[in-house]
Amino acid sequence: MAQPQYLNVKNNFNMKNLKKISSGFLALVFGIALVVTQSAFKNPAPAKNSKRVPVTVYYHGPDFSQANVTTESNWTTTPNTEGCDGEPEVACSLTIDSDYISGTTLKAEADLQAEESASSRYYITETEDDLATIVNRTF
Amino acid sequence: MKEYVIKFASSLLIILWIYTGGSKLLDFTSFEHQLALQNFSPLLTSILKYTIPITEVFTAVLLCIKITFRIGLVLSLIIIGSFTVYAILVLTGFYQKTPCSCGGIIKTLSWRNHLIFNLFFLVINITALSLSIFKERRPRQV
Repeated sequence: MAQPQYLNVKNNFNMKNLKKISSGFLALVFGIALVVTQSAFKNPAPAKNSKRVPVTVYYHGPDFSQANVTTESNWTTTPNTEGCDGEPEVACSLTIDSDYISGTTLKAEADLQAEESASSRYYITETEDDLATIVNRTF
Repeated sequence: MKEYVIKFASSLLIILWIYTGGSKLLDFTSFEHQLALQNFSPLLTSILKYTIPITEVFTAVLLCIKITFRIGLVLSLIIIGSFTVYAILVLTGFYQKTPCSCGGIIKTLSWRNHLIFNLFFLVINITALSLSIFKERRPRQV
């Protein structure tokens, strides 16, 4: 028995509406999910490791070239005067486990990695200590 | 084919604006603080701290609705064009202070990478808008 015509019209209408909104709606939902999951994992709880002794060192190199910001001896426990606002432009401070500290400077084992923000300006992106807190600053 | 390109491009833009606008709204205090560090007057800062994220989310919604789709593309183009110009000014050293009040993961990008990111979406935006306009102007087959 053939389907009544009004049912065909109704089904076609629903399918047309579904096709109209689906890709945009899906993108919207995906974007919201991204925002929510990103903010959920933005500030993970610090690892509970009683053996870690965090030490903060500050960059005191002559310039912000890649060679100098990744030279561990340019980082000391003496605070700098500029303040570190967290912007990824130039190196500023680093809170790292005391195992990577020798006296008042970083050990070579810290293995600093840097990335360029502008011409001859580098900021720190990672260290050997995965749990280190890197705080760069505005130039 | 063009229809799919337009849909794909618009989906990417929707995700971009919902993500950046939503991230700013969810972390509003941080965004407000970073905006205050920008090279704007206090009055402009107080206006922008609300209009930027709301406009971004609004643009995403416009892109979702068929009748406002073209308006959404134009608004998206204006916003991303403005941000791209700002990134170029930063990289050419026009400003002394250059904090970034970007949303979400974008703030971890360097200014150079941010410019590349913006240019990518600018191209996508222009492509979608051009195809959308071209599709409408093409004479209908009888």
